Amino acid sequence: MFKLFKPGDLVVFIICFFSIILIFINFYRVPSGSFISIENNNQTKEYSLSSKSVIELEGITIEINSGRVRVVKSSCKNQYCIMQGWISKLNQSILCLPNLTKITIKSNDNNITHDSTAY
Amino acid sequence: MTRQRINIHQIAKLTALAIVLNMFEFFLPSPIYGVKPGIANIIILFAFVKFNFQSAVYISLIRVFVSSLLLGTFLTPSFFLSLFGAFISLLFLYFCKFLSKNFFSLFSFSILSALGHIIGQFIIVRIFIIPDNGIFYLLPIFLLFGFIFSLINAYVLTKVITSSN
Repeated sequence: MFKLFKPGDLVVFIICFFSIILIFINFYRVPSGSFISIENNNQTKEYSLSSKSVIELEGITIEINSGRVRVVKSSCKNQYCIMQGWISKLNQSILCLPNLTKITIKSNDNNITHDSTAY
Repeated sequence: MTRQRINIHQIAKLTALAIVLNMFEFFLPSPIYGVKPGIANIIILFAFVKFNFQSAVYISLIRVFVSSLLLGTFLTPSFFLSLFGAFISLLFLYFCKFLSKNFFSLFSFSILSALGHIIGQFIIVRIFIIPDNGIFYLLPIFLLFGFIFSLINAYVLTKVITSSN
């Protein structure tokens, strides 16, 4: 008679399932960046992400801690930049429009960037 | 499970059934364009298990040609996608022929042929239709859906075979 599930099926099932999961992780892993660039009042400054520091600019205070960045204090009304919290992945950014500030995580490696066909 | 000799009438009947299922699947709405359950594969697997590999090849290829003629997609890119997917799927089924029937059942065959179909389609898309590596970002999504639907298909077919016995 016909048995529903045989032992070899389990092997095929597990191999296929884990290879699909591996492909998923491989394609959708977002790399972390190595430095940040801060644009503030038309001036661009770059800081290393590995350092641990607090940067005070005009009306805004930015904290870098173990590969992550956040805005600690801001003079703006809505405080969206603070509510966004920590960012750590490549190409993520925090904007604070009242203070004309843009913080972006970048990488020295030019090969890992997003392209238009990936979604 | 005994393998029976197959004649041309049985191939014709099963092919007709496969075409009907293919047409039905065409009209099913899909949340992601291109994700289909692949229910026509049930008939091909049935022929493969009940009869032989050769009949599965006949049914699969005739289904691709006839359903493309009926849907008006003959010799369009979607026809070539379907054809090449069917080729690679049958290639995977050919290797399934050498698997021991004591250890492997329909579930293995269904998973392998469904994944083969998707891999074949991605090869032809990469070479001819969208020559860009970005297309492979869709591969895991399609593989996952194909995997899930192949399990459902195998379960349905197992129920069909056990009830017909």
